[in-house]
Amino acid sequence: MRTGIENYRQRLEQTALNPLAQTTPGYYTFVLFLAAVVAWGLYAYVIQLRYGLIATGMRDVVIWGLYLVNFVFFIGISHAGTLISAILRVTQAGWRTPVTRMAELITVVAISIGALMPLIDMGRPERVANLLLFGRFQSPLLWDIISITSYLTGSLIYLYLPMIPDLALMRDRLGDRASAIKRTIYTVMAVGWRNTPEQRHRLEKAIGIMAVTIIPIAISVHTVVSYVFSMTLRPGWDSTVFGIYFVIGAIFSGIASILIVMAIFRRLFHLEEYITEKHFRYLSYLLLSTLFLYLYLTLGEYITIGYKLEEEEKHLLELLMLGKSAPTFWFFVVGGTVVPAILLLIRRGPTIPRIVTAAVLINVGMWIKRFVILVPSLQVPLMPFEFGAYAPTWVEWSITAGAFAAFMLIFALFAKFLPVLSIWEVAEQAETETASSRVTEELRAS
Amino acid sequence: MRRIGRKEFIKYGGGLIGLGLLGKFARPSLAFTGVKETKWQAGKEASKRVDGAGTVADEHNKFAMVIDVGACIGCRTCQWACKKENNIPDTVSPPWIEVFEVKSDVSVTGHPSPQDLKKGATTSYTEAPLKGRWYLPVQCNHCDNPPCVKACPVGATYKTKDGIVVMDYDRCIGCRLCVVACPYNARRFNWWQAEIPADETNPLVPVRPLGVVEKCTFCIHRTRRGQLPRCVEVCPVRARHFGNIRNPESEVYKLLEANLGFRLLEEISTEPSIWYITRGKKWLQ
Repeated sequence: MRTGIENYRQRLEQTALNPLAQTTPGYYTFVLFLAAVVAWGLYAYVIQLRYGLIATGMRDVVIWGLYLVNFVFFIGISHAGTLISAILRVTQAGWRTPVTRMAELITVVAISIGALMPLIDMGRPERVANLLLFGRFQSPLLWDIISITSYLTGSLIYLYLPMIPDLALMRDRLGDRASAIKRTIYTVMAVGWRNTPEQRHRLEKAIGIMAVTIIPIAISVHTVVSYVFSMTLRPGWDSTVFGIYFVIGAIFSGIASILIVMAIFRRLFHLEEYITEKHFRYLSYLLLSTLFLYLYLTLGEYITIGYKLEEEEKHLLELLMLGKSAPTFWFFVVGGTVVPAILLLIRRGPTIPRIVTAAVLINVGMWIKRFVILVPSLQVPLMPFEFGAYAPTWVEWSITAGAFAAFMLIFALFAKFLPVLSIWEVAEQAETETASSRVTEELRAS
Repeated sequence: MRRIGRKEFIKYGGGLIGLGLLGKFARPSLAFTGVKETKWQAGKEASKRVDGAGTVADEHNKFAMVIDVGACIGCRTCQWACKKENNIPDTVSPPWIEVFEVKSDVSVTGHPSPQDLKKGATTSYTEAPLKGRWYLPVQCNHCDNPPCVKACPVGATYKTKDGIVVMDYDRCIGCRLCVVACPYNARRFNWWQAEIPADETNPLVPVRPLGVVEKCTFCIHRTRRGQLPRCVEVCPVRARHFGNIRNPESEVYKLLEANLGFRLLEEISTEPSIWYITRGKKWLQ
């Protein structure tokens, strides 16, 4: 195997482009499996369309359920990407380059899947156009629609712009290894990129503008997602801290998602040279700090309602901490924050498996946390009704499984058409690093 | 012709879009300030709309209901009469009116707080009236500052000039944000397709389709035509009173003048149109 900086670029291109040209049987099996799960989810949705929302476990008291849990979860992990890659780009953290593409991809896919969830939750999905025809700006749902569509548009542009040089590269390099259709797509999408200084200047300017623009949009998205809940008078939701609480929760589960995706692609596409232990370590620092931020906000949230103990909120806290929701709530606290914190803090054993285990636990914990935010608050009635109960049906679980499968499926397909590494940025970063180390060596020698 | 440069295009184009948005949203956004009473209907749209059973709001009216919880014996006649009158299927349960049984050791002041209501209150009782219990009928409060109307993304529920909060079943998308927003649990969702025998269907009230939200309409099809709501009409102990609160000669106006009254959850400023009085005071001995 050739090593050394001379062949760096060549090797990089080969590693990054190889998966696009070669496909293993394992890949087809995996894609087929995912497609089957998605099809099953679609079948469940057809059942729901036929019988109405009675096919779900939602009823008059607990009027929302799994779909909105998934909505908050997917919009949450969408913050992985764009926000984090934008922040790292704006602060010029050089180590970000091998990670950004994957992070941005998570964003685009997660928003698309997440935005479907409220539509699936609708009682009359065929009237969805009413949202545009009669949309009223007073409703938090309209805020959601506006900010989510802006975020999706913005992050699609932000995913596409840094991809242009790579698309041009594939147009030029893949040659016979790619089918004619693929080559046409690459040619069209590369929009005549010739890597001239003028083009480069413009591209970098555009990326810079998008990076700065996307940060406030991303923050607004999860803020208004939380407003759907906190604009109501429900115990546990009626809170001023919900906006930032959801944003931090989103960044938290977002970073965990990047770590998982990174680990998978590193293994499957042999990216060990580019995604190193360093990347996992750096991101784990970010993960740990958001973990503590999230714990702090969680504590603040419950202590302010627990100290005053208004009637409804007393019921809610009893339900959460001692009652029926206690197992899930405490799983979130222990499995979703305490154990991951220990894993991230005590550096024993192999780094990457340790960090990835923490990331997986965090994401499971955060899904449960969204459930715990949503359902118990609805269980507490505001008039002297009986407490509500909620058990999701197979339809809801199937659609949820379908959504997660669709998420992975889009990822798997994307990885076959476009490189998951930002080739030109990684190469550029490597050149800068070697150049600076050469300077240091020369200085030392003299 | 002079060509418009990129910068100018962005400047003027952005300005135009901004103006358009301002025009569209400026007036409805007054709603954030919680403007009271009939400002909610945002003028134009409401006057164009024909609400329930082909009736239009009369601006001189402002409907209100007074319920004498001192007199109420918890018989639930109102609940069942309402169910029949408004074509409420068995699958919508509880129906639009719910009657709570409350222990007498709470709220001797006649101002039950929500905390009081929580203690020992139950919806499932078989025998009424019981000694030492009082009864609290709850339905849509037709608030003047309705949280459900604020939350609705498509204007399928709106406040009319005569004070009724109406549902437009043809526009509702079934997102159920209003159900979550209503602090009185007054809204119901059609989980099933309603099935009511043709001979038992009231032709004045539409049967709701699957997947939309419904609730008490103050019997809009009757009250807009000068009749009383069905629940008021059938009450055997005359615990329910209904009328135009703008008219000082009306029964409701006089009752509220003569009695101490309360409304549910007054601390959250929803300004309900249903007042409760305790004239009977039967639990105060």
